[in-house]
Amino acid sequence: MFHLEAGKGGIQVKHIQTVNKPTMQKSLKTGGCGECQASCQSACKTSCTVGNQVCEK
Amino acid sequence: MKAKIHKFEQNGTYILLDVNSGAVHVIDKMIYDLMDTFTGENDEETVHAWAHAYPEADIREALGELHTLMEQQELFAPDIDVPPTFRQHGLVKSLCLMVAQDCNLRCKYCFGDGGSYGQERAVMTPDVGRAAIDFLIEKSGPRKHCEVDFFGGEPLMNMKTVKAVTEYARKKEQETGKRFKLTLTTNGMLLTDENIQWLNDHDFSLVLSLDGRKEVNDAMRPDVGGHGTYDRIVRNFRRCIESRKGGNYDYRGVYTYLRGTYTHENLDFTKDVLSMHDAGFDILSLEPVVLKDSPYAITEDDLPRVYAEYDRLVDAYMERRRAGHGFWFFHFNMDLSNGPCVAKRLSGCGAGHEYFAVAENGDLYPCHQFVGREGYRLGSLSEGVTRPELSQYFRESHVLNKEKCRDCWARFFCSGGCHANADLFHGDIRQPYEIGCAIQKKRLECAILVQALQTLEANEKQ
Repeated sequence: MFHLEAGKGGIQVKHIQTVNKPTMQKSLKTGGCGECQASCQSACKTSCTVGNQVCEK
Repeated sequence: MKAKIHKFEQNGTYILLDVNSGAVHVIDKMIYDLMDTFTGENDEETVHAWAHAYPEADIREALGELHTLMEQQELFAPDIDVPPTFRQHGLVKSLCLMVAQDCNLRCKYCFGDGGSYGQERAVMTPDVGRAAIDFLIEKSGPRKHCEVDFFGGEPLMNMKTVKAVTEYARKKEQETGKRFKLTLTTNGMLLTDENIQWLNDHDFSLVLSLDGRKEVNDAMRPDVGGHGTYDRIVRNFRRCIESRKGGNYDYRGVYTYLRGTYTHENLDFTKDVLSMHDAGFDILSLEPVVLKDSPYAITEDDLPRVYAEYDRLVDAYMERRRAGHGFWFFHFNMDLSNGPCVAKRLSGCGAGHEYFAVAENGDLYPCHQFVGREGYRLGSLSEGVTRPELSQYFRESHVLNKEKCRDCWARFFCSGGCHANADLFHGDIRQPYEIGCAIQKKRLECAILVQALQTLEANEKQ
């Protein structure tokens, strides 16, 4: 069990700590501008790891 | 069945990823166990299944927390289908120019046959390079940000064309309002002071190739005469990095990466990453070699060793960051809160629909690794795209259309892996290369863990 009791919406959370505020579901409606970098164009010229990319918006 | 969650334990930390929202939760051992049973709607079954291991009150308290996550759509979030934001047809926004299909090194694992890609050794003329810029301007439509990577072989062997194309692209920026992000990937042999200054003056991002330790690099990356290259390359890279200090050089904008490749011969590759850091470089990438029927290839038998090595790399990475002298490792970078949109995650690398390679003669291929694979020639700068159906096939070869990808927990992070590797091993871009998938999934777990640890440690400091 975690020592920290991080508040989440006023609820005491003992067993889980969420580390991010994900936007993937929201991006189903708002994404697709295409201004971001091509994922294979950067440091990984022999693989494709889109998860390492950032949104430019 | 489609994976909705993924859980893993690494280095004593338990992580739960919600696949369809991207939420990452650090959990305790009890939640980790409960998630073997809990589906979101079977509380009593879960209590009964784990009553032998945990007090009932604790299980019910934990289930309460899980239901809270579900209400916030951060656990068992709805399945994702192709959204309307994913354009039916791709807009080309990135080109890889093979400015020199020739090279001054003979790396033993080269996918480009020593730079020639199985063709005659040749360099791109300035006219072909300028035509590529015109093609990109036309095909990118309303998109403002475009990318051009000068690649090879070794692109610095053809500075005449690099300079002519750059001058033309910068002129066209003024006329069209486009912005061209320019990148050059080099082995460093010709990275003279004059070339460094010119690349800096023209805002080039650089990808500098080195394989880590001197003995590893020299065994794999000899020059044409078979001699080691480490000392010459590192001397040039140090001068290059030194000249860029204090400028606008970071990993998002104009960046300077050192990238390397590890093979079956150096599965202790943490030493290579740390060697590059110790040599004075702090934005790093190291990737597994992809080879078929080669003594240097990573095999299935190597995987346990590879996994253990990534665990070691995480430890070393965190240790150096905590001590205040960390480094960036590309494959551990991940923006968990503001990552790519779903449309981008489906587009993947964009090969064949948003991203093309231009061979020295102006022929178009889905990406640099397909150059010379004639079945994948898409057209040419003079003819345009003559095989739109093949381009569209690449567009539609996303994770939701690939049998092995659509159920995988990693589908929205890896975006289905590399098409060229899938073709190399299976002759089919919709059948992913299994060893690549296995390593990719391990790397993603490491990246998620690193991001989670950094967030928790930052919270504790506050």
